[in-house]
Parts: sequence; structure tokens; C-alpha cells
Amino acid sequence: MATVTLNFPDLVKLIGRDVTLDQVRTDLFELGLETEDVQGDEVTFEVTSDRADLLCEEGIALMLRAFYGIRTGLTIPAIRKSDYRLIVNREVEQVRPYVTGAIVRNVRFTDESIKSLMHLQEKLHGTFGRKRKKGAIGVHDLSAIKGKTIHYRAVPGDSVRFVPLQSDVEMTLADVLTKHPKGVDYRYVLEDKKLMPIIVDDEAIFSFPPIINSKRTEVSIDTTDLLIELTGEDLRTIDYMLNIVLYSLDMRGAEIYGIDVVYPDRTIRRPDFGVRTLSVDVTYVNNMLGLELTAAQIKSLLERMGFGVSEATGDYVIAGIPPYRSDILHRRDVVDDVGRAYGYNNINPTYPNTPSVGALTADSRLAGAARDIMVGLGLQDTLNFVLIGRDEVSTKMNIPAVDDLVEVANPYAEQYNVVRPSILPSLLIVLSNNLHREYPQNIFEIGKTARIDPQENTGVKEEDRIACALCYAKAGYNEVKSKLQSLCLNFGKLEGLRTIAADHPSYIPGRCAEIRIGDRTVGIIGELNPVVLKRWGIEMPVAAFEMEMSALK
Amino acid sequence: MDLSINERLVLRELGDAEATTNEIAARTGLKPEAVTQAAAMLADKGLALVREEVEIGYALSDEGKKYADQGLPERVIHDALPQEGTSLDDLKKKFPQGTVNIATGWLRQKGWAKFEKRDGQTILIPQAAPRSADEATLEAIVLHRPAKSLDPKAIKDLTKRNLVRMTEAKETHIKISDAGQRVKAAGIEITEEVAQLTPEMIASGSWQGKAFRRFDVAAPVLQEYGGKKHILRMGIDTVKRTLIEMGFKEMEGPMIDAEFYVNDLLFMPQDHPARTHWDQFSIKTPKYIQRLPEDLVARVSRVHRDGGDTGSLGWNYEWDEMIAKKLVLRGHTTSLTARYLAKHNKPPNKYFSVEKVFRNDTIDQTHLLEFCQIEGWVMDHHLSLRDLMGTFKEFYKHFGITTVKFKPTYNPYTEPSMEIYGRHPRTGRWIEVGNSGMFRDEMLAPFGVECDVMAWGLSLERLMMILYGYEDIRDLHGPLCNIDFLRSVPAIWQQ
Repeated sequence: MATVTLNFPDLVKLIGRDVTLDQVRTDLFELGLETEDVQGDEVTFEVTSDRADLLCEEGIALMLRAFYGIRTGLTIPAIRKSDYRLIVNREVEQVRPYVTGAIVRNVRFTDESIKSLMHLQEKLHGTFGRKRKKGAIGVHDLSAIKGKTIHYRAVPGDSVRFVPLQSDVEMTLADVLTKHPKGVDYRYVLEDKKLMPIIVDDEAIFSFPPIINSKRTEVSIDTTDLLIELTGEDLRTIDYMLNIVLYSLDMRGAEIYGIDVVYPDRTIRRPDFGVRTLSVDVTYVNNMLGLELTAAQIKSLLERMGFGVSEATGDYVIAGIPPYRSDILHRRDVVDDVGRAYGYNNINPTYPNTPSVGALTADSRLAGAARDIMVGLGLQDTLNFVLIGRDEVSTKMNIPAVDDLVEVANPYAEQYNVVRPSILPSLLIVLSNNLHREYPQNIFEIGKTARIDPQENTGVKEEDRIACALCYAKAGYNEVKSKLQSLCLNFGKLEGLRTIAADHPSYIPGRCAEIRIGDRTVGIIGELNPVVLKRWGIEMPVAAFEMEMSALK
Repeated sequence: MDLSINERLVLRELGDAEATTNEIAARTGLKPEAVTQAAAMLADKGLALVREEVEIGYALSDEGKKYADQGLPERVIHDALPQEGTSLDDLKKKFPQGTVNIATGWLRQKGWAKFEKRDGQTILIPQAAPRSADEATLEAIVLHRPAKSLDPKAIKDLTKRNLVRMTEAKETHIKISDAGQRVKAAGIEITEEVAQLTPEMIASGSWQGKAFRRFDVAAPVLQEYGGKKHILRMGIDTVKRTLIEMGFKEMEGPMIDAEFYVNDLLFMPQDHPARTHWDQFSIKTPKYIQRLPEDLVARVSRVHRDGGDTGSLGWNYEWDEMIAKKLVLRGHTTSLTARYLAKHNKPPNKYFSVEKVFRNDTIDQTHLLEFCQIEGWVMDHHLSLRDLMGTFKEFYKHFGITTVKFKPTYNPYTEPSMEIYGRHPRTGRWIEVGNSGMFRDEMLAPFGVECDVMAWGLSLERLMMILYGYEDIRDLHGPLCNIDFLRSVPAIWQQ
């Protein structure tokens, strides 16, 4: 989960009221933020992925300022006029179609605030911006920008040279992608693109989104005026990212200036602090939360969450959504904010009287009954992983190749790269991990297995199977067959049970049989071949059987 | 004082003078081992004094036994010599060379023959040969005469000739103690004792009038293990039983499923971080599900793009059916819920499952690649957050967790959403035990559900660790288990 680390005294200053850390931690928990760590004044909170606006100290301060009633309702920063224009050239459509931005003046950076801005940028890239693919932010020193018309273009990778940040040499765009650390990290976004996106002023390129800015427009603690540009694949995403950045700068007292973003077919003014509204019925709120709130109470709760409420008459409220709240997709999301402001833990739990009769599935009942029988036969139940290694189910079982294995594309490790086709290898892992523990080790498992099967819609047949392994000095075919027989007896299958001599590379020739119930072959039984035991490092005889659970039905 | 029959027999034969085990054995008719055992028991009870002594003895080697039987080689040769003597060459014709070689040395040393040279030949002439000390000693050993009575010089010679070797034997000397005397004086009754009751005895009634040998009932016995359900299985069963008591029906379905059921139906945008290979395991072969239900696909595609008719903004992107068809190992059992909602879209419904889910996590004390999720949902008209909270209170009450609290959280498919925290009954610490919420309209609308559905997912292993204090999840689930732990972990029965 994403986290935000803030400086507590600095946060208190931004909120504008004396409040203790304990109080803030308790309140933030109720609002959905859990404390992850406290290191002196530095406090880290977990932020859920919907609330990109809380990825900076200023965002948290903004929320708490409203929640504590210091400044409730909507906060809309003033947007002043600037003459800056951002011209979008047609070629970017195939490369990275959207751009947005704003001018910010009279920024008075402090150590805290510049650090906060850089962290916010990084966090937004990592979460909301989907590792810069969906949206990426560039912040520039406006005083280094030449002219007031800025172009967003796409050009061939070797046609432009510039000095990127964290470097002193001039590079082509293509060079940046192979040689600059940020190029290496984020070039995946531009994979397969014929052209590279760039942002240029009257002089030259100053940004190579979403990879790196130019050194020429680098921001320092003394920078007072900023050009902020965002590019990406989704305009809604980058506009929210812009708003979140601008609100954080506004909290620090900076002035925001609008720009014209000129697309080939339309011109839009940015930033857009327009307030979307949703009408929410009072009964809808109360039904969902199990409360009996009035419209006026809902209004006041929403205002404490930073919403504006223009109407609260009788049976509905009209909620104005703060321009940084990207998570409000539906009126349901507004109700959630009412609930948070009210406090989930202030709601009295009730047990619903939905009528229903409980039941297990047939397979569950069958497995349970079989497990009881096996336990009664003196066997220890085990519960193993469904993921296993290809080697464990083939080479180690002395089986040359298994061709219907369900294979994991991105295994955690080799010993988890397939889904097990049978249970016995899992039991052998258990035995090979317990070599120095007391024998007999007589174990079993009833569990899921999977094999490729084109007859199934998923292409995979998942099957419940049972396997049993006896491991001690005198464990042999007769002993394990006697367990099988008892199991079958308890499911009325003794009459139909036959063991027909068979050859299987995992078992000793002449001591291996197919298990048949009726006319169907349902499993295999035998003494494990010493070749197999040797491969598992087991120095004790093992006799085993495995079969389909459905055979007991 | 309780005495076994053997102890009584032995005690009766003990006196103030020490006797050896063999002597007592002879007197009682018990085997020497039984005497030793009974004497030790009597000594434990303070009734006898037992002293062990190492006794030196002598035994004959195989060669020694042969000579004791047939005579020493020098005696054999001497007795064969004619009065006038015979040549060494002739002797070698009549006797094995080895015997002749050994004998000539000793004949000369013992003076039993004279050796003369005649015509280049060595002639042996017999002399007087009284019975020698080594011959007497050989016989004494055969007759088990006490070691102390044997001639040390002869023993030394015989030992050097490898005919005799020294032996050490432990001998137990037993005599009665004062306490033993008192018991003996009071009279020792000897009745027959039964060691093992047999079917024959029961049938014939022959046990009547006999005493049963008293056992040391405090003595340790073999540890038996027998069969047992896996500890996690006991937990699964307990949870299932609880949910069935609460009226839930069990769901079942594939572990390997299309992303459509695992993610898309849950209103998870296709670029959601939880859908990357960092989080979920995808399947290489086979790669895709064959068919998805067309009408559902159309509705899901639309709700992702613009919210459909739900009043939602949607995620504002072009939904890709091929991504939805990709097979993964389910990251949550909400995929089962999705499959069941498609079939059961009219209230009332209450369903649950306790099944495996898979996450591409780093394996450690608290994380596994696969673990068991407790999934549940209720469908009805007018369900609220209060009802969801009340359901948890009821569920956790069954496990002794009576204090729960809630934290708002975020899931793409539920709103409001909340995490549930339980207070550990012993440590008092707050621990996250699950995640829950009310399903969003964007999730329910494609199924045609027109009422409320509340749902949750809890980690079974986490619950077990909290309830029973287990510290390493790897002990609880998977083949790295310690079989001794499984054998000895207490059964689960308490709520």
C-alpha cells in the first residue's frame, strides 16, 4: 500500500490548530488511514489507492482542516489569468495523446515544502499515474522558459539533443532511453512508439515526458515561479494529478495561473477546478449506513469532508465534489464520506434477519467423511500447497515427462512453477522434510489437483483426489492396500474394488496395481521404487495409493 | 509392602551372609536374570543389600580345550616314544609337523626327553614325565575350580601358549537388610501371580484365587500418535460449521479462472496494480478461457468504460476482452461470489466458501503464496453497513473475539468498505482480521442484481494465528510442516 510520511509540527501549522499526535492518529484511523510508523516528528500513514489526494502532507492537512471544522465545505483556490499557451501538435495522438498544466507563482519553498512536492510527484507517478504510463508530471522553473507559447510535439528519437537532469552531457532522446537511469526505468512506456513526445519553448526542448526534464529548467529551493505540465494516456487522470499538485501548492500560499491548452480541434482552459455535483437522497444515505440522518445533518457531515452542499432540503442533498477527489465515481461514494465523517465505530451493529438455511457442498461433505475414515485408520492429515515444482512431479517421481501440466507464467520460484497434477508428490515433500522425526509416518491428504483438459471451458480440469503414504521400516503393499480396502468399505465400494497388476515408473515392478472400482480405473497403488525414494532422500520404505475422490461417490 | 512373587521368593532365601545370584537362582528355581531384577527391586525398597563384584576367572581357548581333552602335544609325543628312542624324522612321519615342533621345545624344557645325535640324526630318548603343573591347571579350569586356587606360574605359561585367557565376570552378592529381616520375620506368603490375563484364564476361571502382578502404574509408556486432522483443517471445519449455523450455503468453483471472474466482474480496472504479475500468478499453459458469457461481457465492458446505467463515471478506458480471458490463479475467492451472483441474482441469498487463494507475495512468517480465504456474502433488500458490522460481531463472537472495531478502507468493488480489527483475547492488541464492504452498483448491475449485497474476505491463517498464538504461518500450511507439531498440537474445540 502507498504511504505518506509527514512532518507532524509542519502538519499542525498547516491545519492551523493545536492538536496532539495521538488525536490525529485516532482521527485518521477513523477516516481510513492507519499509522504505519512514528519516528520522532516524522509520521508515516498508509493511504488507500483511491485517495491520491492524500499522498502529501498538504492533502492530509486539507482534509483535517475541514474535519476539525476549521474550514469546512469546498476549498477552491483562485485561478489568475496568464498569457501562456500550450499547443498540442497532432503527431502526439499516436504517442501520448494528452497534456495539461498550469503556472504557479510566488512559491516560497522551504525544505519541508520542496521535499513534500517531490515526494507527491513520485507517489502520484507510482500509483495514480501507473508508473508514469497513464500520467506523468514535469515541474519546471518558469524563469528558464523562453517565450509564452509552448509546444507539445512528437519527433524521431535521434532528431533532438538536450542535457537531461542528473547529467552534464547532451544526449539524443534515444540515448536517454538507453543511457540515463530514468530512461532505462521508464522507456517501457514508449516501447513500440515511432516518435518520442517532447515539450519545447521558443528556444528548445525542456521536457521529455514521461522520462526526464531538461537541466535548463531545473527547480531549486530558490525557484519562485513554476510551469507544471502533465502528459498521459487519460486526460481525466492527468487533470486530477494536476489538481492534487496545485492544491498542495495552494495550501503553502502560492498563486495559481491558468493556461490555454490548444488541441487541434478545441481549446481547453487549465487547471479546471469545476465542481461536479451529485444529488443524493436522504433515504439512500440512511439505508446504506443504517442511520436516521436528516438532510441538514448529512450536509454538515459532508462539509466536514470538504464537500460543498448547495441544497439540503427535506429528502435529498446536492453534493459538490472537491476538484481533487478522483475517487467519487458514483453517489455511493458520497455516502461513504458521510459514513466516515459520522464515524463507522459510532454506528450500532445489528444482525440482519435474512432468512436462509446453511449447507455444505456435496464434495465438501464427501471429503469430510473420507477424512474422518482416514484419521480413524491412524493416518495424519496434511494440508499442502497446490503449487509445486515440475521437477517434483516428474523427475523426482521417476516419470520422464508430464505433458498436461498447468504451468504458472510467473512463478515465485522453481519449486512452485506448476499446479500439482497429483497429491502424492506433496506427501513425499512432507516425508522428505521430516527424516529425523519418529516413524511410522503415515500421512494422507485430500485436496485439489489440476491438469490441462481442452474439454473444460477454462482448459483445466480441477479434481479432488486422495493420496495416502505409509512410511516405516515394514511399510509394504499389503499394509497400504489394507488402508485402501478400509476406505472403500466405508463408502460401499469394497465389492467393486479390484487391484490389477500394472507398471508405473514410480513404483517397484510387480508391486504396483491400478485401482479399479467397477469398470473404471480410478487410481494407483504400490510400493515406491527405491529410485524415487533415493531422489527424495527418504531412507525408509514407502507404500502409497492415490485416487480420484469421485470414485467414492 | 507390595512385593511381587519373585521378590517374595528371593527375600525368603536371603540371609545375613551374602549369596550370589546363581546361588539364589538355584535355591528359588528362578532364572538368574529374574533374581537380579527382583534383588534390585528389593534393594530399591530397602529390603536387601546388593553388592556387585568383578570376579577374575580363566577360560580355555579352542586350542586349550583340545589339549585338555587329548593331552598337551609334549605329553602325546612323550607317551609315543619307545624306550630306546626314535629319530625326529620318524616322529615327523607319524605326527603332524606342528605338533612335533611344539612338543620338542617343551620336551626339552620339561626334561621329558633326551636329545642325542646319532649318524647325523637327532634321536629322542624318553625320560620320567611326572604330571606337570600346567596339566593340572588345565584340568582345574575345566572343572571350574576357583581362580584363586590356580598356580600362577602355570597360568602364565598357559596364557603365553594362548591356551588360556583371563575373564572378568560381574557377580552380584545379595544379603538381607534389617528391614528385610522384619518383613521376613512377619512371614512371606507365596501365592501364584498372574502376569497377563489370557482368554483361556477367563474361560476356565483359572485366575480365581490368584493375585495379579502389580504394575508400576507411574512408569512411562510408549507415546502413541494415531491419526489426526490437520490443525488448519480443524480451523476450516470450525469456521464452516459456524457459518452454516449462521445460515450460509457453501460455494465451490475453479482455482484457475479467467480474470473476467477474478477481476473484471469486480469492477477492477484492467490497469489496476493488483492485476500485474507482481501480485497475481497467471497461467502459461493454457493461457485463456475458451468462452465468456456474451451478455455479461457486453455489460461489464460498458460499466468499465462509462458506468453503464448505474450513474457511475466508470473508469474511462476501452475494456479489452482478451485481458479478461486470461487465466490466473484466483487472488481471492470473490471470483466464486461473482460466479454465484450470475446464477443467484434474486434475494434472499447467503453464501460462503473457505478456499485457497494465491498471491505472488514474498514467503515469510506471515505470508504464503497460497492461503485460505473465508469469503461470505448476503443478498437482501435494505442491507446496511450496520448489518455487515452485526454479522461480523456474530461471527467473531463464535471465536471468542467479542471486541471488534472498523476502519474505512477502499476496494474497487465495494463501497462503503471496511477493514475489521479484532482485539486479541489475551494480548489485547488490535489486529486486522478481514476486509469487507457493500458491493458497488457497478459490480451488481451487470448481474441484474437490484438489491443490496454485503460481502467480506478474511484470512483463515491470520485468524488461527490470533486465536491460538501460532507465530509462523509456514507451520500451519504447506509441506514444510513439522510432523511432530501436527502430532502434538492441541485439538481445536473451544470457541
